[in-house]
This record gives sequence, C-alpha cells and structure tokens, in this order.
Amino acid sequence: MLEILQERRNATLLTALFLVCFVLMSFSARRRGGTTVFEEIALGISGPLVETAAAPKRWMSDIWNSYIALRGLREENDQLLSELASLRGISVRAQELQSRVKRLEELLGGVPGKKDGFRLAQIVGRNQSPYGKILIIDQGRINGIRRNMPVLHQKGIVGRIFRAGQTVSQVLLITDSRNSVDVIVQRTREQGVFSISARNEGEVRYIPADADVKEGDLLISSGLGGIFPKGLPVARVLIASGKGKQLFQKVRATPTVNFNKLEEVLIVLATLKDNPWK
Amino acid sequence: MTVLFYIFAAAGAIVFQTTFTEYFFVWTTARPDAMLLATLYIGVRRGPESGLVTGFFLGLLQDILSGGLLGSNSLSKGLLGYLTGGLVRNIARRNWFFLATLGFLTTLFDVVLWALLSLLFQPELGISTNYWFDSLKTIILNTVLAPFAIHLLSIIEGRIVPSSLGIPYPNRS
Repeated sequence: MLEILQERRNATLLTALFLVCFVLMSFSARRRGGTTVFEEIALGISGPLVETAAAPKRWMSDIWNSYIALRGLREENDQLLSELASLRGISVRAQELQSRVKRLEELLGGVPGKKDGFRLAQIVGRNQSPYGKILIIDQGRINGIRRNMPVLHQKGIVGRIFRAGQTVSQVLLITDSRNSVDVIVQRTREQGVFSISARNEGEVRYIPADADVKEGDLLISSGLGGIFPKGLPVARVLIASGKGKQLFQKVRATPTVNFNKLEEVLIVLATLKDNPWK
Repeated sequence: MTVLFYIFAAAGAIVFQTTFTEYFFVWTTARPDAMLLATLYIGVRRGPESGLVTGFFLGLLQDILSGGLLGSNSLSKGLLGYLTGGLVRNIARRNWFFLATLGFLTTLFDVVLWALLSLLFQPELGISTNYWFDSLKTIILNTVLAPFAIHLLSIIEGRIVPSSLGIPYPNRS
C-alpha cells in the first residue's frame, strides 16, 4: 500500500490536499460564528510571530512620539491649558448632571449602572485583504478578552472581537461586509443600520423617506443588537438623497474612525449579562 | 540550510502580510498577496511538492488571519504551489515578463477559485462588488511585484546559501 502511495506520490498529495481542504471548509461553513480547534492552534502559533514582527515598528513609533514629535510643544501646551480651563467649567456641570441622572434612576426603581471595564490593546497586525477586514491585537483570553466584545477608539466604534486567542485576538472592523451597527442620527434620533455596501461605501439603510437627515449629521450607536453600547460615534453622513421618492432614503456615511491610522484600541470588557451575544 | 531559508521566507511573508502591507494600502488602496508570492517563489525554486505544502500552510494561515472560510485559501494556494512547481521546472528561461505573467495568472486563479468556493460553501453571504474591486487591485500589485519579489528572494538565497546556486531542482538539498 505504502509503495503504491510512494509511486503515485503526486496524485496522493493532490488527493490529500483536496480532501483536507474540503473537510476544513465543510467544518468551517457549519461552525460559522464559532472558533474551530484548527483556528485556535494557528492563531496561537501566528500570534507571537505577528507580535514580534510589530515590535520594531512600535519602537520607531515610540522614538518618534517621545522625541521628534515634541517640537512645537510649548504652543500646544498653551492651547491645551486654555482648553482645560474651559473644560473645567463643563466638567462641573457634567458632574452635576450625572448626580441628577443617578438620583432620577433611583427614583425610577433602580436602573443598574454599567460595570464594564476597559482594556487598552496595541494593534500588532492588520489584514485588510479582499477576504476580510481584520485587526490583530495584543490582548487575548488570558487578559479577559471574549468573542463579540466591542472594540472602541476615542473617535468612535472600531469593531468587535471576532476570535479570541490565548494571547492575541482578531477584531472584525465595522467596515467588513459581515458587520453592521444599529445607529441613530444624533440630531433627530432617526434610526437606521450602518454597514458597508457592495461598492465599499458606508451606507445607512432603513432611514424613512420623510426623515430629517442631512450632510454632516453624526450617527451614534443605538445600543440595539446587544454588542455595542449606546451613544458612541459610528459615522458621519456624507450624502442623503431620495427624500420622499422611495420608501427609504439613500444615505451614505463615512466612519468617524480612520482605520489606517489606528495604533491602539479600547476593548469593553462587557459581562455576560450585558452582552447576550457572547 | 536551504530548507531553513525557505521556512524563513514563508515566515517573512506572514509578517509582511500582517504588518507592512498597510503602507501599500495608504498609497494604492490595495494590498499585495504576500502569501501567494512566497508560494510562487518556493514552487519555482523547490518544485511541486514543496510548493503544494507551502501553499497549503500559508493559505491556511491566511484563512485564519482574514477570518474567512477555513480551507479555501489553503486549497487555492496549495494547488497554485503545485502547478507553479510543475510548470516552471520545465521552463529554462525565467525572465521578468514570464514572472509577471505568472503573478497575474496565479492571482487571478486564486481570486476566482476563492469566490467559487465561497459561493459553494457560504451561498447566503454572496460575493460583494467590493471583493472584485479589491481583488483587481491585488492582481495588478502582484503582477508588478512578482518579478521583483522572486528575483530579490533568489538573490538573498544565493547570498545566504551559495551552494544552492545553479543546482536544478530536485537535486538541491
């Protein structure tokens, strides 16, 4: 038997390739949404490699940020001090409002406050190929990262945890066609769903034809869907057309986050109770 | 030593794909397929069996890193590694035009096969127009980069493992 296999080595190798790949594809197609054992192993192996590869780039970035980019710091410092002074006033007002909200919540029967923690993660790899828009971060299951946890940036929503490995995880960006976010227009509270269209453009679907939406409107997460917390910036409206003509308007929007310039992200360590999709 | 070099070349492709291709994105809004280029190189240098094995493992890693259908890239790249190895062994002159054509055809094959497999195993997801636009850019980039990448790796291999120079496959260790 072995001799025959040796004689027909090429045919054996090709048959094995087809067999293994078709088994993997069937397994993967059936278990979509979960992580297979093969994926776990490969993510574990590739993780340290990607982390090591990202190290020189991170060192260069540190040098740049610590020394070279410090020119013009005095002007920036003066500007920041004046901004701080005005923000102090706003902060006092915000504290007052926060305590008022707390009192009202207690009056309404005790709405529990969110106890989510955050974890800062460095981006160690990217894969924005035609097959998917994925970031690789240096935090994994040992850091408490779990599937579907929201991933944020100071400018808005980045995506969600797609696969959590032992030491590294994958983030599925909101620009991936497999992702969508339920949003509301901040100004008018109109509701829609933000996703990436087939033409690689951000679009907001299901905005009624008579809704008041215009260029520059900020879209924030609605909190529906169970993954992203409410009130976070998602995108900004570029064009809203087709008012009154069809059932829904055609709204194009661009994400508030520039995914090419991301270096760090924030992961919301939502509890199981808060996150039913986990 | 030669085998070790090929392992490093494959690891380099993984690192390149996940870390440095973002710079291409900034300039051209497209990314090359470094895993495919590494598979082609190893196929060209080592023949069909090594091409198949390398293509399979690099494709598998690409499937995992992109979060796509597991096994689709491994099948496509495994086949391409095998075919390239078998084809190029019988071609004496490997000039730049030939390598660019090889880069074009193999990337085209990779893109079409991935779409077919995706439609076969995940018909409900469909294939977006975006996929074809991105893939077109990748095909162009790979066509341009294939001759450079293969020649550059050949030069590096010649410097690191001079004993492998001029020895045709399959007599190379």
